[in-house]
Amino acid sequence: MNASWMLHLYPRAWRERYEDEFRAMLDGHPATPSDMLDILSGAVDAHLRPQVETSGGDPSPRDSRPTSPVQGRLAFFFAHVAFFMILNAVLFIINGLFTRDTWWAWYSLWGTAMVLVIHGGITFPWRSYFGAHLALYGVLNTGLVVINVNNGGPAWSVWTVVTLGVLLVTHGLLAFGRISLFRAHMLATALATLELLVVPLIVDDTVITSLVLNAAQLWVLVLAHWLVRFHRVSLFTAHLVTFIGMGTLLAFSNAIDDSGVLWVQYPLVAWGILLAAHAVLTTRRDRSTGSERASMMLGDLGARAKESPRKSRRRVLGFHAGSFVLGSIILVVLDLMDQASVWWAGWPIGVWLVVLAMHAGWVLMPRYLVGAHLVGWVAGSAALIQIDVITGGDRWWQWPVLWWGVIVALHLGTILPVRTTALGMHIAGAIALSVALFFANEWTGDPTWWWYPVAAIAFSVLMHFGWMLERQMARGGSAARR
Amino acid sequence: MAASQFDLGRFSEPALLILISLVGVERHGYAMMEDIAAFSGVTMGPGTLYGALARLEKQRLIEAVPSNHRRQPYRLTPEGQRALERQLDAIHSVTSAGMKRLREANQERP
Repeated sequence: MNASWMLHLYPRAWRERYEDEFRAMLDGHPATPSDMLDILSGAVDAHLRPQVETSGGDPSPRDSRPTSPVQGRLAFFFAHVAFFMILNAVLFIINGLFTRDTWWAWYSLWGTAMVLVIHGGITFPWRSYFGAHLALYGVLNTGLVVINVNNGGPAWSVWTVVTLGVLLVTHGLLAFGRISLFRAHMLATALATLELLVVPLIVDDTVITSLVLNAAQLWVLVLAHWLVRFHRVSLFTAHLVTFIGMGTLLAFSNAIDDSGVLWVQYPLVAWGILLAAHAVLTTRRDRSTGSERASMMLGDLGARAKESPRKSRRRVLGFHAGSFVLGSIILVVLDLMDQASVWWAGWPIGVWLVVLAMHAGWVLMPRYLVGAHLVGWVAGSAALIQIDVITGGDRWWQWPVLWWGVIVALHLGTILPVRTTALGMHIAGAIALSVALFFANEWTGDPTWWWYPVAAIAFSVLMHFGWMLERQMARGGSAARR
Repeated sequence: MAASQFDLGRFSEPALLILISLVGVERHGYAMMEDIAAFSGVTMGPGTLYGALARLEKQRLIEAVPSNHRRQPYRLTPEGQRALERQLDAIHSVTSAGMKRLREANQERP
């Protein structure tokens, strides 16, 4: 059997170095099916762990045309666009044929669109990813508004539209260099104040006192920022000012509400403990000026994607994890002392855990993109579940969470240090997920639904590799024409 | 040589067989496959062979010999020879320890 055509499956750089001699070997000795499987396995491995360097050494004329990073990123992005389009088309067909009473496929379309927007932001970075934030703002809020309108009830989506809009505007002004960090902070606070006053007026025709107090709390943060920026106060002093200002406003808020519960003691005690810990840990005064600190903060914001010293990032993560454990213990103790029927500590601990997971994904994932995918999935899933719970939905979140999770799992498969091929990992992942879905179906006792996602998973795995094959053959053909 | 420099991933065993096959002689790909099958009984597929060859060449443990033929012969580099010696020494230590323990176990058995 002639297996020479399989050489097109290898990366271009590899073929430029080894194609002739490999072909010579295959020409003289026809390949068996086992050999063909071995060649396929070798091709996948050559893609996952490049064996041939495209620069340096003794470059041939063809070596001067390596695939540029930009081309690679574009190909990667448009491959994902194509993949998501086909995936969603399949889901809509399944939805339309079998479960027409609920159009759950829209959620998949929404979720994948958001993933693509984030991906697009990395592929086409425009003004420190401002373009990605702009597109994400549009896609995210469109979905939220549609959910809100479909489910009826209070117009909660107005808040996400306006709040994220305020952040987007200030981000844009920062990204285009029109405004300093402090002024951006002040502008965002002013717009947020307007929002907190005006939105309730429009939605409920009233002014909500607690929201006015929230606006005042935001101004306390501006005050702390101003002290650091222009008066060179230490970060601890700024923290103390924030604590006093926020604490006063919280106490006032507690005094005027009708709950009859002195709830303000809990945040004040917990925050006070953290502040005391901060005071103990502050062994030396930070002598950098306010403007230097502002520059550092801006630089940090703009260069999140760049590598920073590994040890430093891990140390900060460790500090965060330790704070989480300590903070959770304090919250649980306070909750137990409270003896209320509602276990309220679960909410802050849960939200904090999501943030910690995001932080850990960012720091620990060997590859930035995979970490970002994982972080996005964890945070996005938590948000979707929360929206469903708040709106009294029918567990629709399971679909976007499931599909997004499958894609993230596939990405994780590419970085696991296992000695197997990408095809094997995909198939193993698909089988494991299918089994999990089957048992989940059995456990919930719902009508049999598990085979829909399982069929789609199998289809998507096959399609992904079909696409890889097609792309490699197309590349091989174009290389041969040159 | 540091272990990390000799990290050949899933091709570590094929790489060792290739290095052994090239000791004192130049061989092209197919000749290596036949030689390896003869001295070890391992039938190496073409994808595995070239995956390992590419890594060994990248690590400068083997090198291509200038040739006018389509079949490209390879040979060991001095560095490759030293790496092979270290690998075989390590394997020898492990097998010696294993054999010694087996002997001791057999002697203790009534």
